[in-house]
Amino acid sequence: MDFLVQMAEGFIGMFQEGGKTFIALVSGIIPTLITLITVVNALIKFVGEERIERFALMTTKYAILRYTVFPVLAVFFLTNPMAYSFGKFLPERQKPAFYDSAVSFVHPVTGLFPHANAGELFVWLGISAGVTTLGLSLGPLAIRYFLVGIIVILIRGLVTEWITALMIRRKEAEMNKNATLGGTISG
Amino acid sequence: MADYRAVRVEKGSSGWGPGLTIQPDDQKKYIVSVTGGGIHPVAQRIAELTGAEAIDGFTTSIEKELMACVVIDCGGTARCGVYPKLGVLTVNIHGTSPSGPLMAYINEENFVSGVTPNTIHLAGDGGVHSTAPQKPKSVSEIKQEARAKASQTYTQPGKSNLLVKIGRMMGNVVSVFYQAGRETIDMVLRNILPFMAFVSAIMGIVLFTGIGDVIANVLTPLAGNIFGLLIISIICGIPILSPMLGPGAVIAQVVGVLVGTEIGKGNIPPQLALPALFAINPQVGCDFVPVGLTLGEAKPQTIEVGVPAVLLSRQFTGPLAVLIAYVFSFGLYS
Amino acid sequence: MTTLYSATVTGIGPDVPMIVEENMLIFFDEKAPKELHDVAVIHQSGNWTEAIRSGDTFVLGETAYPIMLVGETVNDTLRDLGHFTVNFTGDTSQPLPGSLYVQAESVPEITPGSNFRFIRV
Repeated sequence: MDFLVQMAEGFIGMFQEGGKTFIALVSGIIPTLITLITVVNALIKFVGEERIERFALMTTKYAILRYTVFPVLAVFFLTNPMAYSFGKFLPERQKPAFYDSAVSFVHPVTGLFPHANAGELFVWLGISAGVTTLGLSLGPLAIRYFLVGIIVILIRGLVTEWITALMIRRKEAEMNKNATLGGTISG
Repeated sequence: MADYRAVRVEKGSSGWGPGLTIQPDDQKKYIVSVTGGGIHPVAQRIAELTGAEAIDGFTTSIEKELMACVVIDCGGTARCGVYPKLGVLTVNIHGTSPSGPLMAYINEENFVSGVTPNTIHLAGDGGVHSTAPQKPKSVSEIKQEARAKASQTYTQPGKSNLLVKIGRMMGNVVSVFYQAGRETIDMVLRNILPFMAFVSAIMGIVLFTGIGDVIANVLTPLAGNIFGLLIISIICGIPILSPMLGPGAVIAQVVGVLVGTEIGKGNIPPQLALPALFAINPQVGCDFVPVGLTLGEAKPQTIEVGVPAVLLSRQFTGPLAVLIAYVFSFGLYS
Repeated sequence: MTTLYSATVTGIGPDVPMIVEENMLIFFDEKAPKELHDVAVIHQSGNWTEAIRSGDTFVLGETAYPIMLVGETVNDTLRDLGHFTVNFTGDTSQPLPGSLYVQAESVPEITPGSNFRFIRV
């Protein structure tokens, strides 16, 4: 009998522990999050999608801006997953690189601007919670996450653009070979 | 009279009517925009081409005798009929056909719809469907016109207008913030709270059962130094694995919470938080490449090469990101 | 229950009976140019907060009408001009973008001072 009571208590204890975590998350994170996201959402509405598009378009010509400013604008203003629709402004050969670049930014952005990917906050929140537990401030980590994120998406953009170009070339070569092969057989 | 030119307004792609020619004159010299939100670009365009003046019908009242035409954005019943009934040439932005109680008043001579700024052009010479023929003006008409002009010039840029503008702007600001708040709460309810519930439940189990200690024993040696982090990133970046680890970033988030717990306990130094953020996430979006590319309106051929290109790229850039983050973590929390 | 939009009628245009004959009512707020006042029910503009859609309820005075269909420009003109047209015939076979459709025996009596609103249950 004692064993059963103990087991029941243990069982409930597990959820009490979970409940404590939940309350800590809700009271510690949600209030700031709500006010912050509200202001950013309003800001985005004031600026308007058209103006963003017009400005973003100017940055697509240069590789360095194309894989830094352009995806950052897309992620900040259109958020995950609509940000990837900015790919439509680029030529086909740059689209995979842009996607790679933009999608790699949807977590680094959350340290400072959680609205951009509210559904996947815990990559950042999970790790940063530990830093908070130690009594350290999150600002320096969030800013560095953001900046390193920009460097990483630039590299990913350039590397993926290069790999895409290689693959397109290889595919074209293959198609040419097949075409000549087909030609000989039918001839 | 000589200052005004005639314009031809054709119907738009979904519109109705053979088109109108609008010829303002000294009496009918206002293009009245009876549309929401100020003077519509169509009214502006007609005004520019003809040399007449565009007026917002909601802020300034104009006698129907003074209207060269009205521009409306009517969805079928009211404005579509009222202005033709008054004998005013009517240009509708929406592509409606004559209908409703006032349908009898709408005809090819006074109504055109589906108009955009692109369907408006200067007319060749003179108008076919010109507005009423030029009449010599009576004294009262001249007076009326002067009065209208005076009220234009003097009251409009005045104080009340500014107040109205400020008022409308404030109303706009408030409603934008309200809408933003709504969307935020929606976001919290639909995306953030459910994941918090999920994380809390996992954490409850992990912390209470002691599984946490087991995980910590595996995770700490890996995540506690730069080489371990590199190994994690290389594994997560393997092109066969990465699309499976990607969905919803669930794996990255759970591992993130676990690593965070260890940082909190002091088992992993806090400055490694930065490289860890990249180490647990080289697979980000690898499951989503075809969808993401489709959102960017990529062709099927592009998607075909794009998927392997991204996956392959990650195998290199994943560990590279960890190294860069490691370099940038120098001086953090020390 | 949420009230999406509510306003008080302040005037009835002289040509409104002509519109009623066709089983319709046209609404404008007081800012509308005076030539439009003739055919319309004039009201003090309400506060538009959220899009009205089919399934919501239109309440005029004491009577509630379930909304069958909302034309695509109704919400824009309601927000900007306090303007919309109610078609009481229930015939949605050729919907107009500016009208919303309800089913009723006849168009109800309406007088200055009566209230109308859109609600969501």
